[in-house]
Amino acid sequence: MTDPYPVDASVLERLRRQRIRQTLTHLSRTGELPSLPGAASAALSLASSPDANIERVCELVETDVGLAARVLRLANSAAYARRSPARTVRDAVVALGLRKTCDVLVAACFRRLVAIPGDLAQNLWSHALAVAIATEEFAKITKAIEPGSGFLPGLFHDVGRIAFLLADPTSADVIQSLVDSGAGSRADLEREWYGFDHAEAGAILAADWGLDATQADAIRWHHDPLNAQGGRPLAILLSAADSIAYAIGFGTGVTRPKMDGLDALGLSTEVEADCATRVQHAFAEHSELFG
Amino acid sequence: MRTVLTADRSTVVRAVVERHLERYGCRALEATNAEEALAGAREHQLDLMVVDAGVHAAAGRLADPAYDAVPLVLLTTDHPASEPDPDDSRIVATLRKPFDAPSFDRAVSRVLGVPQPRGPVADVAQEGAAR
Repeated sequence: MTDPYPVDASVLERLRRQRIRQTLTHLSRTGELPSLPGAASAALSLASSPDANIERVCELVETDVGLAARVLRLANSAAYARRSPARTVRDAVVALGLRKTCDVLVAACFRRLVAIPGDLAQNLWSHALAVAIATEEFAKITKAIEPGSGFLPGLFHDVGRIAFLLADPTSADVIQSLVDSGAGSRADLEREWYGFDHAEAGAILAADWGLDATQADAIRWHHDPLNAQGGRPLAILLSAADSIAYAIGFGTGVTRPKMDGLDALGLSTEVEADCATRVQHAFAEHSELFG
Repeated sequence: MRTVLTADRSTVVRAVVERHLERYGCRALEATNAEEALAGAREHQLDLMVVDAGVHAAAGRLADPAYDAVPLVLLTTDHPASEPDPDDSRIVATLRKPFDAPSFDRAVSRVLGVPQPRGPVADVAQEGAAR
C-alpha cells in the first residue's frame, strides 16, 4: 500500500539536521555550535581552492608566530628532509606543499579547540590525529581517494564527540563509562541521550567548517561505511583508519570498533602491519608538533 | 542523607541523573518503569523523584498514595505528549532531555538546595565550551 501523504526525504533530512543543531545549541553555554578559529577556516578554504598560491598560504602562516614555528619544524623534520634546511616560512611551505601546510594550520587550530583538561579530551585529540595520519596512509596505498585529501576528514571524523564533550562534559563522560562497561554501543547510547549519534552531529559540523558533501557523508558513515553514498570510498578509509588507531593504542575506550573498513579494503596482514608502523612513527612526529 | 529516585527507561538518562546527584551527596535509587517507581516510593522515604513523563503518566494511572506524596522533577522531551499537566502540584520543575548540569541544578534546587562544588575537570571543560 502506498503512503497517501508521502513526505519528501530531503525535507525529513533538513528537519533532522535542524533538530541536531537545536539540541547542540541548547546544550551549549554560549548558545552557539563549536567553530574553528578564523585562520583554520581560511586554511580549509585555501586547501580546496584552485586559486591557492604560495603567497596566500605564506601570508596565512605568518599571521601566527606559533603556526609559523610549527610549519618550519615539520618542514625540517625527517619526513620532509631536504638537502638544505628550510629557513623561511616560504621555504617551509615549498617543502611541505600547499595542501599539507593547510592541513598543519587546521590541525594546530583544532588542537586548541580540543585543549581542555581531562583524559577524554586528550584521548579524542590523539585518536583524531592518529586517524588523520592513517587515513592518509590508506589513501596512498589504495588510491581510493586523491592522496592528500584524507587528513582533514580523518582529523574531523569524531568532531561530533568533541562537540558533545564541549557542550555537555558530564553526559559525555557518563556515556564513555557506559560504553567501557559494556552497557551498549556508543551510537545507541548517544541516540538514547541526544536523539542522534556523534557521526550524524559530526557530519553537520564538518560541513559547517568547510568540508565538502562527500567528506561530510564519509564522516556520517564512518562506523557503517558500506551504507555511505557519495563518500563511500573515504568512509571505508576512515573506518579502516579507526581500526588501525585502536590497534596501535590510540583508541578512545576499551571497545574496539567494527572492522568493516579494513575488511572492505582486503589488505594483507603484512601491508596492514607496515601501515600501522608508519602511522605510529608519523604520529610521534605530529604529536610532538601539536603538543 | 536525602534519597532521590530516578525513574526512566533509558540507562543513559538514569546514569546522567545519578552522576549529577553525586554533587548533592544524595542516596540515588533507580527505577526503569512505573511499577518499579511505585515500589521504590513505598519502600523508601524519598525526598525527590526525577521521573520521565511517560513513566509518570503510567504511575499516575496506578494511583498510589506513597508515590503521590513525593515531589518530582519531570523529565520531558520535545514530544507534545510529554508536556506536564499544569494541575499536577507534585511537579516542582520540568527538565527537557537532554540537559546539562546548570539546567539540572536549577530543576532540583527547590528540593535539594545548592550542590557541592564541582570538580576542576568539569568546571574547566565548561569554560572551554564557553570560549
